[in-house]
Amino acid sequence: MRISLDRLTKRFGASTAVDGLSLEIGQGELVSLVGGSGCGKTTTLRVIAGFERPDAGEIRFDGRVVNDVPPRKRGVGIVFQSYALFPTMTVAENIAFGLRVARWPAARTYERVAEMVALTRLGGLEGRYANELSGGQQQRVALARALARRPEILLLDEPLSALDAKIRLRLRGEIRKIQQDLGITTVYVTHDQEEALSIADRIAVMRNGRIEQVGRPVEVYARPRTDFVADFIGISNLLSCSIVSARAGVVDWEGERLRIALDGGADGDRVVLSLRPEKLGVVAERAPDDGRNRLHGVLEVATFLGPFVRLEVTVHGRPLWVDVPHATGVLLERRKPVTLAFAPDDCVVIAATGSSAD
Amino acid sequence: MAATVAAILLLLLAFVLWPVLRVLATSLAGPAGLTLANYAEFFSSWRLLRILVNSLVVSTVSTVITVAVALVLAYSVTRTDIPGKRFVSLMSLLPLISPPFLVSLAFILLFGRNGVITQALHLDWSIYGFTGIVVSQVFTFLPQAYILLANVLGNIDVSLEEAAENLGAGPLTTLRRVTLSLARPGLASAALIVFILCMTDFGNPILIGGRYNVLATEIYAQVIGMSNFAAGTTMSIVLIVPCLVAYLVNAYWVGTKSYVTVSAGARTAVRPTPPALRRPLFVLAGGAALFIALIYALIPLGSVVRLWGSDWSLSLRHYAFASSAEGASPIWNSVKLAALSGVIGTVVALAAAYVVERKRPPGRRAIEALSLLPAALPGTVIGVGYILAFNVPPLLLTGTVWILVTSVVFWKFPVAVLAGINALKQIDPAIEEAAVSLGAGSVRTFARVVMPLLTGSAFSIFVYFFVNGMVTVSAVIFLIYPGFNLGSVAILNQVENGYPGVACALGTLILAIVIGSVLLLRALVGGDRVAVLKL
Repeated sequence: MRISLDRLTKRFGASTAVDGLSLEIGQGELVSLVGGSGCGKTTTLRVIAGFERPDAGEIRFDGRVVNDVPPRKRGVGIVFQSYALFPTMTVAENIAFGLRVARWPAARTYERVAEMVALTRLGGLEGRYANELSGGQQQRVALARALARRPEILLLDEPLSALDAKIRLRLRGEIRKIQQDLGITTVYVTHDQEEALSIADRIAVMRNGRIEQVGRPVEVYARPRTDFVADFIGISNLLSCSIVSARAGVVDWEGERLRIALDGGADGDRVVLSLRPEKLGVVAERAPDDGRNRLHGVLEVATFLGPFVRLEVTVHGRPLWVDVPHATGVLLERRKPVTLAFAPDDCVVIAATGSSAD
Repeated sequence: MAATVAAILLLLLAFVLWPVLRVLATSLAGPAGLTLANYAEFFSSWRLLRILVNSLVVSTVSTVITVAVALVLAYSVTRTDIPGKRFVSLMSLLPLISPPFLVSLAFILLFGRNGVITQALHLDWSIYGFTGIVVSQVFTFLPQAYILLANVLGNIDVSLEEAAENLGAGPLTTLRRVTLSLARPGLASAALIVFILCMTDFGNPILIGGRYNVLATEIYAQVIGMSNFAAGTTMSIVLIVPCLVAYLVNAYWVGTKSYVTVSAGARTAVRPTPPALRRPLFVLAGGAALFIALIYALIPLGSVVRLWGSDWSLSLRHYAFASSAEGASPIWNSVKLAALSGVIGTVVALAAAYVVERKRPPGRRAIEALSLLPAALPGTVIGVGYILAFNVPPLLLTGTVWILVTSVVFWKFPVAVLAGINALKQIDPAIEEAAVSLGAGSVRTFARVVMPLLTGSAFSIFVYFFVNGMVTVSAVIFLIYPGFNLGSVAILNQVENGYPGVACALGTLILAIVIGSVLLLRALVGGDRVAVLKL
């Protein structure tokens, strides 16, 4: 089932939680709404589920407007952040709840519960109560319950936020696999950009009730359109520059001339460069010119992060993050000068909005 | 610290256990040592068995109705968006701070022999008896059930209701299968607590019971009327048994079954209420709240009417208190008792809570059990027990204000200690450890670090004891002495002597003093720091 959100607006008193948001979600697609707290992602989800009525705009399922359809008739499954398992019912009773309400025959209900138990690997736990389950098991019961009635849309509200890091990783994979096997259209709300990048077909980065950028994870990561997205998705060094020569692709940053792949813009325009830490390299001070930009700075902190080392280097009084492999052949010592290099097409040019970058 | 522990333990042994043991001993005493003769006599007398059955029947009926009404009120306030919720909540709590039998007095003004409605409809019927006790108990003990249920229902994660709705359940299915199903332990708990309160209720049956005798009032008649301590103590023990059973079932079985789990992301907002539920709930809850308001408006009204039922002109003559020699002095005695109980009760309860929750000395279990035991004890039994225990040296307290103060403090001890323990649980022990690690001693830590954090709770506990000192009747009616009557007892006397107007005047004064002192304390320490007086 396709979901169309058309200029949705939802206000709570004086504050606008969702502000003219439009988004198309295709059949079988998993779209992740990602953003900080208060960005409107959960409200958007609750509008789709029918728990909140939009003040303006339309929600369409396969082209049919569902604004006036109450939650219990929308045929969407939802997994709540708190799981909301019925504590007075067993695992099997929780999963069967929606089927009983819909008056499925007992035999079919039994069969379907068994299927869901198998799908979510809950075998042997059917008779347990929610408080006798681990967090991961509770999460899987919530998923099984939401899917039992074969909804055509699945909504997940921060489904993994209450779990340990390891279990989170494993369940993330399981949810994705089940979602793809069933081919169910899914909206996945999370504040964790890494989770969004790894699980979604497309991610929609939200801020102040609007979508800042939507696209495939690799696009959004590689080509952030705004400084907010560049900063929120992954880690970015944001360099506030002015164009010296649009034709030659030269900008000025803190008095330093940098060659970059410019695409339009006029001389004197302000632009922001987004430079991922892994795109910056450390080179020997007297290394021969290889066409890359060189920046000279001082190493402040080196943090060991397992697969790589993250450096904080001060250049022209500004801190830059640099991720380097363990063995670079360059001596890393605090308070010592280091030379950084990046190629002209390693950075992304963002029109300056003056919002979050300094 | 060891001295404090020993002192608290001694106080509890002397003022909780000793009186109960004296009651038990007296009931078992015969001319030739131990005997069960008193019990044999009780259970072979049809009249006395009938009184026991009366107590059980009236308490059961009152309990069922009270819990049902409280459920409607608590559900309306916590889980719906009906208008006037604040008023409903306020009215549901109002009986908490009034003398326990003002409701009876109001019903007598409405349906008594000279009642407004009785006269208007020319009824050949009056409310005295079973019906009177039930309706009075319902509105007297409503707050206790309401607080408990509002707490349970108010903490239900709204996501549970949304999940049911999302899975296709309609509002009634959601209410039945999810919301009420979660409230079941709370309902059981409320029922057991209200049952104890009804069994031990003294004020309502004595005022409005007519010829429908119950154990609590019969004990009073035997002990004070006939000085028959053997019969009185036997009935006391018979009365304690069902109360103790209900108390233990609640504490050790129902109490452990709470479903209320506050998890990450749990929200307690309110779903829009479907019209099918909204209107009936608004009518029921609003109606009940208005009725309570009416009941309490009748008391001041009754105090300024010249002669209720025949001369409706306004008059302040009842405030002259000319109908008795003692005048208004019972009110001031009540204030004195309330203030002394407030100060002493707060200090002892907080000390006991601190010892139980933080110090965990040997004997902690005994302190905890003895602190909570009075919750299962009828006030009449406390009264009888105190007479027996403290009319002989070394603790000769009869005829002094101290027997009244200790009876209020220790009978009302359980709620205060639990409030103290809860307050201490909110304080991270690491804060005390930090003080100790910085070199502060035990006393300084308590005084400078713990006590300031407990100010709000301490005031709540003070108000709790103060209010109870003002309004209690069942234990103190055994213990007052010539020249020292209390306001609450004086109300009973005035009704019995046929001066309902004066009783209303006394009731109005007590209500005014209680409400005034609660408001004053709220103003002094800030509204949110004086927690609602629970139980």
